[in-house]
Amino acid sequence: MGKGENMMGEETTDWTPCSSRPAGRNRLKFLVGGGIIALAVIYLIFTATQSTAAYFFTISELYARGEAAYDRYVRVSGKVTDAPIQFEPRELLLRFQIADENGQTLPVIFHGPKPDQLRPDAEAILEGKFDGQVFTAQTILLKCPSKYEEEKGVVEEKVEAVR
Amino acid sequence: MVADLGYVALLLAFVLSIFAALAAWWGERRRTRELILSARNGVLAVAGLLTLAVCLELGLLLSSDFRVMYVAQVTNRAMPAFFKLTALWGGQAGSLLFWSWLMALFAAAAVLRGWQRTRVLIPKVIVVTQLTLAFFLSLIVGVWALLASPLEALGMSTGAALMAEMETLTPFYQLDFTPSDGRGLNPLLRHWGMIVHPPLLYLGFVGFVIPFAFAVAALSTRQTGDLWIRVIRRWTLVAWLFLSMGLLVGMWWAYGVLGWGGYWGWDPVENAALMPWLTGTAFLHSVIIQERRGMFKVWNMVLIMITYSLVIFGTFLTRSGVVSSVHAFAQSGIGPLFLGFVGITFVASVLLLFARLDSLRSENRLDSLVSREAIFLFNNLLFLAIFFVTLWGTIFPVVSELLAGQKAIVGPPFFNQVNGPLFALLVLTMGMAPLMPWRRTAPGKLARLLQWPVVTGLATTLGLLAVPTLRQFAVLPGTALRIVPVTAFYGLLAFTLMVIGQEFWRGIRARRRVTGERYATAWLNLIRYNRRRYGGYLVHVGVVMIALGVIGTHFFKVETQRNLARGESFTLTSPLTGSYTVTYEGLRVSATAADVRRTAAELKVTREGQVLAWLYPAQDFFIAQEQAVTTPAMRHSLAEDLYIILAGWENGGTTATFKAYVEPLVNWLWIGGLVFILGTAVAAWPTQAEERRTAVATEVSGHAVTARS
Repeated sequence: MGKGENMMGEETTDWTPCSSRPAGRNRLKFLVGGGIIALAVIYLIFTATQSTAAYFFTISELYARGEAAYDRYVRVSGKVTDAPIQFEPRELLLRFQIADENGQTLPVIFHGPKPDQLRPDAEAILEGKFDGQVFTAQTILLKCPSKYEEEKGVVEEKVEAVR
Repeated sequence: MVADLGYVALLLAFVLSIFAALAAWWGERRRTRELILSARNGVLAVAGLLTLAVCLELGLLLSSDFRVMYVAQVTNRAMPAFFKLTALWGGQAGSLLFWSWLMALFAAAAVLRGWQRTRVLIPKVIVVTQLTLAFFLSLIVGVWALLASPLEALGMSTGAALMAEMETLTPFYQLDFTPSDGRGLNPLLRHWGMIVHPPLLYLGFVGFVIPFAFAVAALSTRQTGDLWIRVIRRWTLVAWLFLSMGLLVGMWWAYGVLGWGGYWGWDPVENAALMPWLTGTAFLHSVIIQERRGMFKVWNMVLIMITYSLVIFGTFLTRSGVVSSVHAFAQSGIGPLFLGFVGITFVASVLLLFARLDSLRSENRLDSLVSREAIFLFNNLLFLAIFFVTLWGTIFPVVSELLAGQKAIVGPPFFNQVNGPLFALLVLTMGMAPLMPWRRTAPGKLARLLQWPVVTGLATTLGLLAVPTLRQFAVLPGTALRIVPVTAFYGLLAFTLMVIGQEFWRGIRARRRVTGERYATAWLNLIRYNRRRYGGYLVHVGVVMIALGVIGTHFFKVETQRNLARGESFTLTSPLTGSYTVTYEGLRVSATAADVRRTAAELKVTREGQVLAWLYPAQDFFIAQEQAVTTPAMRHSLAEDLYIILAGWENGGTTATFKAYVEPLVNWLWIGGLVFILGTAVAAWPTQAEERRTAVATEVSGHAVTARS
């Protein structure tokens, strides 16, 4: 944010090369006004960042954090395991498991439609909350190898739970 | 053969663009007319060569020459010819070629147009545009691959690997075998929205390079007077028009195709296009102050420099995969190169600015806090604030990893929470500005002009608070606090609309008094003879309509998700019009194209027993790509859209899952977009009076040069 203030600083030389009486007072008022706006925006950014930031965890990290990570909006990624993917269409209830490289597994529950790309070995990025037992996903983002562009390309599919 | 020819054309264009930049530089230093002329011819030749390259690439795409890697990546045999052509910007290498071609055309047009009128500025304009172009061309002619072995020798193997890869970035790169078929264009991109969206966005991006080039030229030649400001006005407006259209079409595509019931997700790639628009819009406004009052000169320079960096940064974000995004193409080694280029050009232009600070002295002072100048400054601060918020949110994952060692993201709630109130303040400045005269405002007059708009605004807010359905809505958990900002925002929109209406009314009345014209004639002539002013007001009316839709969908959207057996139904209650009953009648499979199988659900939409519409949300399965794409079905009205997606089905369709949204006022967003574009076109249309002023400015600067030398 320092950049913005810098620019403001530069600008003041623009209005009044030599500070004189009435204009000088105006300049002060503008600096104060501009400063208040800048501070307000920084405060807004700061508080909103704190309240909305979702941290990225690996499954092991999520377990390691213990209660500190419970009921916080977080993002977890891992590969869908071979464990059966259960879907009850009438209730729109989806259950599956993901695992990280260390083999740590995380049971996932999701209220919503079953994404087409959800299959064992697909890479899943989940956003949601962990209660210590089950991860309740709000969004599921699946990445599968793509047929377009180079081999590194991926097809992404994102689904959201019912609010 | 064709591919080799294309590659040679690219290589020649690359060499010539560097030549043109150097020749223009030296020609200006040595005051050698021949060299500058030669540079100009270089610019034109580059444009010609790139046009040839683009034609050859199109030929390759059309003839399905899969030996060319790019052709195999983005097309296949089954694709219709039209999509083969548009595949030019369907992948990374092609988009970079396309970008460069547009840049070359813009540069050529700017040089030809300004050759007489802005003789003093042209050499540096050539330098800036050709260097920018040379950078882009360097990416697609593969010169960076030459760095691979030196880097390898230095033991920097990752860098070497990245650079070696650059060789394949050429849109004419040939494989050593010919695949039997290509992979085809991403099905999501087979839509007219995605066909016109990238070109519009690129025209906007490239367009902003021209004002920047003139700004740098003005700075370095110390011709910081009126001339460059007048010359770039139309370039800026045109660039801004394309960027705005690109953003709007992108939103429209996201809404109509992506099937998530939204149009803006604060995705990094969306932000990358929004950020230059924000700073460009700030520039568009504050440059008026410089034109009228000779103030804010440094500020304007800073704004156009930031905008240029953001335009390049935007192209980079969409092409590098640094910030993961739904839209991003595959990752490649161009990331570091882009960042390096943006860094160097930004630092260089800031240094130039510091060296020339003395020539940017303000001609006037700010007289009063209640004046047009002051409110424009406030508007600029708000645009910049929204820009910083957006930038912060976009790069937050990178920042948090660097600073806190923990990767984190902020999503749409962050942007909405912070930018929402800032946008509201922006609407307020938009409403207030026309009421504020230049220099200072007489309080009595201001109060008189404010009377009706304030009454209208308050009446709207209070009236909305009294609407029972809205009050009911506010009782829902989590919405109680929303009703206040929403109604206040709508009040603000009414206030702004009233101010603009009053401005038109005052203008019409004044015209009628003098000319005795009829109302309609007076209105048309008012716009005709003051295109900039009233075109600007039209743009503002468009913004008000867009805001109407944005607030409506943001605060009053209703959604549900159901699994239905055949014959079953669900109801969805709209906050504006009543309930919809949606009944599932069955699934139907058909072929919409040779390689597309469509599975559509039949839905009967009724209200109180009356059939309102039949909707057919579908999933299109693209056989060649083995990819399914959901196609939403909508019932449009001015009040709202009913938007339904087929999310899946079981047992051949005995049951199916649907996601349904009510999107209040969403169509005002698109209508407002049209008004916005129309207003910009009106403001950008050339007028004779303006041509005369530019001619005068040319003469003045001509004298200044003669006097100096």
